[in-house]
Amino acid sequence: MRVSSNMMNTTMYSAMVKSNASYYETAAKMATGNRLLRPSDDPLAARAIQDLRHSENQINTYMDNLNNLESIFMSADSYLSQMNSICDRVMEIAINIGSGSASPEELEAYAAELEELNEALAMQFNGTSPTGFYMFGGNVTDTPPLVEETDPATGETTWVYKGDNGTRPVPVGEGTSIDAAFSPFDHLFGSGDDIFNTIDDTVEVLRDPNATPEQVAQASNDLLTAVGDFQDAINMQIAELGGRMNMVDDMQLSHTDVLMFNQQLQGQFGDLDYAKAAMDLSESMVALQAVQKTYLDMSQMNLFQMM
Amino acid sequence: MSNMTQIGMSGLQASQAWLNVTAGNIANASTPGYSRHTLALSSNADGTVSIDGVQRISDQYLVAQAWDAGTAVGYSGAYAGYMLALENTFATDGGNLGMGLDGYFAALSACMADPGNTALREDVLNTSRELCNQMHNINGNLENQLEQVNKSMQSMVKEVNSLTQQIADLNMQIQEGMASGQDVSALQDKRDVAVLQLSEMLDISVVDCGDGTIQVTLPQGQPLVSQGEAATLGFTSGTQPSDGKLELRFGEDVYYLNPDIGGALGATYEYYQEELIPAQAYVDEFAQEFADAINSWQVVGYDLNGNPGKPMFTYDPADPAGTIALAEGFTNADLAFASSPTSGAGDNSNLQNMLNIQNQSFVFDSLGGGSYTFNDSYNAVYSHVASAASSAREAYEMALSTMEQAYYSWSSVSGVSMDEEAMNLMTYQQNYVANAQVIATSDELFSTILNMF
Repeated sequence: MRVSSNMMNTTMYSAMVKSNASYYETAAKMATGNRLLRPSDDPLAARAIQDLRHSENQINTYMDNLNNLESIFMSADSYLSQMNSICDRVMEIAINIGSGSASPEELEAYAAELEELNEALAMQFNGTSPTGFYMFGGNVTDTPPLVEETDPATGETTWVYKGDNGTRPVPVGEGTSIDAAFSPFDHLFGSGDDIFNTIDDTVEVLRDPNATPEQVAQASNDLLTAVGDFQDAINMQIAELGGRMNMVDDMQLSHTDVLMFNQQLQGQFGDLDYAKAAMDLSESMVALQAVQKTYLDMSQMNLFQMM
Repeated sequence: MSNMTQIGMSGLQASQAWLNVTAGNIANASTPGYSRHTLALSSNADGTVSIDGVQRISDQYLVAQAWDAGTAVGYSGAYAGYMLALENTFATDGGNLGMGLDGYFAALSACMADPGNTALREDVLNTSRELCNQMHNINGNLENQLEQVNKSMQSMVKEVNSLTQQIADLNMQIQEGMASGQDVSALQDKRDVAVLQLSEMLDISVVDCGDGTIQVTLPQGQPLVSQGEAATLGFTSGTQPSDGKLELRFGEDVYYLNPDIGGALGATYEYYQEELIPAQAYVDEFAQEFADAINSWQVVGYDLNGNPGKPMFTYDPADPAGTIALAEGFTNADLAFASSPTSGAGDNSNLQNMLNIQNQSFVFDSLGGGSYTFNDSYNAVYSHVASAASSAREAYEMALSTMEQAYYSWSSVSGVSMDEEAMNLMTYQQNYVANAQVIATSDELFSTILNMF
């Protein structure tokens, strides 16, 4: 084949451009650690990574919700056990009152203690989540579910439950949700024989100098019933909460596994094989140097220089 | 004796002509499109040599091959460049609508456990602003590209018009030159270069008419150059940037051209009609569908204060992706997460409806009328852009190497080799000296005879 001078130059030039381009391409990949500098480098892998990133984002959203629920449930659990131990003491007092052996001074001490216990119990009942919403009123989250209302005519106060039966499902997986709301006490209110109003009634009887022993015994009985009902509700809620917490744990574990697999896949599709890249880089460099050397030699090989 | 002088003289002239041809080849060794010249000589019965003329070493088949390769390079190079720009628009993190959607729906999902939490509600507003910004970015990039493409269409059309006019003029000059027996090789080289440049702009077919002129047509037969007459192209951009039409006028006739005219012009026109305008239609449709979907749930729900919800997003239907924004004065309390005015702040049932939007399918006319979730619609575009950009780049690389080959084939026949010219230079210099010696010898012989008397 006849080789023109222009051809020689063009060949050398295009060889240098190619080696240069491949050198810089590899260097750019090494700088970012990505096998793909742009999606068109490998459209299928790029799409796979895009899909994996989407599902990673979704799982992370679920994980955030799970972590959020976990902290909500942990504080709910602590409120419920506090209420439980307060109830234990109320129960003790109810039994002591009912024994009929307490002196008027002792009855007054019990009355004072019951008053404080009622306040403490109401405080737990109106407990808020770590992010600040009221926990035991169903979907009534921005106002306390338990309020003490005063009748303007008689000046008498009554405890009223303002919560509802809202359940507030929170998505924690594809088609799976866990309720964030609690409304275990709704059924206890309404007829005035709930724990809070019953304690108030009991205190009133204990402080009434004209109260008969029968009335005191009746108050003790009422209190026992109310505290028993309330503790039943608490225990049921604790049991139910345990179920939710187990579900949170299970979902967290399964998401963590999927997430790890997801990241592994993303790495397989998108991460640069540094050993191979380093080899490619030195290959491009050798090729570039070889072309440059050849060009220098070739430019000396000219008949005109011999003339 | 006088015959010997004449023979020597003709040889001297031939060597001189050879040296001139060689000088011309050396001088034009780097001139684009230059075909090397040789000298056509013939010997006469009386022993003298006559110069028949300067020959241009050119193989029309190889030249045509280079033109075809040029068209492919022009087309695929332009197309690959455009697709890279489109890829940068859609596939960078700033234009990744899929990730933007994920962020928005994650913020909504985070509200599910505590819909009344104002910090979480504010996050919904922030992520929706980000998503709007992404749409604005993509829309802005596409608008810039539309503007650029409009400009390059105009300037390419100008270039095509000047090239066709140039070829028509050269046609006439070559025809006249040939009729009067002039050396037209330089004009032919010039015309070849103009045709090569035109072939980079458009897919053309060239017919040698035999009278020194060439006829240039588009593959579908529309004439570009015939004899001394040239067609004029025009790109009219209408009121909308998407109204642009490419038309060709030849004499009284007007043709509207399809995008498949090849070359850089064809690539630009095709990109404009088949990628850019659909891409913009998609982003607009995305913005509109998204805003409408969220708004449709907003207006049936109740906000943090138990008031009926109002639309969250506003947009101008003439330019949805460029104008989509949070409604004027929209605050996080306006998010209508509850489905009844009396349910507590913890009611997340309408929020659930909004969250469900991410799994619902919507009809996208801009994607051929298919049903897609928002995320899938973006992924379809993402995949399309990535594969189209990838095949455009491969096609460009292939076209480049084909053109390299075509150029090498042409150059191996028509290109100048410096070594060859150096040898010619020495050979014809020696020839010149030898012929001069013949004349001197003849003169010597003549003198010897004269001295005899």
